[in-house]
Amino acid sequence: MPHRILIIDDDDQLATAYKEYLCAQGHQVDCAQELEEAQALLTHFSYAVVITDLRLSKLDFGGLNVIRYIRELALKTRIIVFTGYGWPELQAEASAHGVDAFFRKPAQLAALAQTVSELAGVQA
Amino acid sequence: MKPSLLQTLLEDQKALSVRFQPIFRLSPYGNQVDGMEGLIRGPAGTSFERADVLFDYVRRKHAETAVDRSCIVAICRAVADLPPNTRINLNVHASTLGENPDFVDFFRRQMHSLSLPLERFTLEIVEHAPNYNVPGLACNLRALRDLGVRIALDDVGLGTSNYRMILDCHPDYFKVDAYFVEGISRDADRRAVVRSVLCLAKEMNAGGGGGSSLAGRHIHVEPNGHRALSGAPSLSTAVAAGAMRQGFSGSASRRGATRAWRQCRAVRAYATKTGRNPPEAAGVSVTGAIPGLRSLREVRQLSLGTALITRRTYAEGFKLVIKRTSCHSQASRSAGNVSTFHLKSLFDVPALRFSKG
Repeated sequence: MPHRILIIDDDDQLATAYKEYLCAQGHQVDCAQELEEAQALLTHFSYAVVITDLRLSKLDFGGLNVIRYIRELALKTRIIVFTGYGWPELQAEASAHGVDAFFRKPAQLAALAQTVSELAGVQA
Repeated sequence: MKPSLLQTLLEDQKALSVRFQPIFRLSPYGNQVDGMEGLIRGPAGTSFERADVLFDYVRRKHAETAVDRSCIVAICRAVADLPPNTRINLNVHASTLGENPDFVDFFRRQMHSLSLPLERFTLEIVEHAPNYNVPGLACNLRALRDLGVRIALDDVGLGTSNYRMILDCHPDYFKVDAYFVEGISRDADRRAVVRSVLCLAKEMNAGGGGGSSLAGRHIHVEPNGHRALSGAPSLSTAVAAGAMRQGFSGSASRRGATRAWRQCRAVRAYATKTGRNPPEAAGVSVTGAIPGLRSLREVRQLSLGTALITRRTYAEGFKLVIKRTSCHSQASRSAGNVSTFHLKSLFDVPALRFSKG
């Protein structure tokens, strides 16, 4: 069943690769590179699953702010974090905000798509 | 590394596209296009194509000033292709006017470079942030009025378009949000709200000398009893230009719909015969030029009730945009290849009555 997915990553090439794969699975996918883009999209569209990197720029961990924003809006969106940073503290903070799954970059596309489908299906 | 969306908006001239939304002057003797509102769409094929999403992002980036200027540049380029007597409405944030003493110079230079008379323009003030620089805003508005530019306040009654903003802007036009206009013929409370704004407009116009009016996303009602309508289809520049040259009048009646359908049929026949695209063919009516509409029934639906808008229609640049706050949820609920918008509220207008004096 197709779902609306949001991918948030400042690595455009990686995000595009994930987008194309998920689109081929029938999902409708938007991409955001930065926090403000993600916030605008989350405000106006309903996403079944958000896939976000934790680090959205070299300066900060904007992905955590995205997760907080989703929870502030009390959205039922399921959240997948995929990141190159496996720091336990970051993971713990993300988990505290109700992240549903973690992936280490580079994630296997098939595994990611499988998790997306499972989470979106559970939500539905 | 791909540039950020904001960089793209500011540096790529093709990132912003322009649509024109006709503003009709309503009259028992036939509706006339009173002007066009220049609207901006974000990068095509992205979710930021929708103006509300785009400007939500822009406000979060605190980039209203830079993007407002880019929008004005884009719209003015498109306006240059419209007939020279067309009045144009442009949207500008109050913060852009409040914080940029050089805005008027920029605006004047822009118009001068395209040989566009400033008197053709109405600036519609929009704002979402609660605080803006009032002295700066007042100074720029005064300078713009001195140049012949008219001022409108957008979305009156919602958010920061409140009494304070009315006093700060002293608008020539009040644009009442569609929330207050939809279903007005059946709702006495809504009529009361709109009447109160009409009274306000009349009172504020008392010492101001001409032009003050009550406007709406769907209706404009002037103190002298003239009414106008906006919220009709948004048009590409080519179609808007063709419509203006042909003296397009909106079809808000069955007779109008029939006429539009006949025009549509004639234009299609002419286009087939000459090999030209319908919008380029003479005598185009905007209603008739919408490719998704093929039958009289559909045209009637467009005029009297519900319009069916196909993806093809969208792709060909004839997207119907009904500017109203509840439109987005309807749009997002649309499925498959067909989106359904209810237009009936547009034509509630004739049922609106205001007592004079």
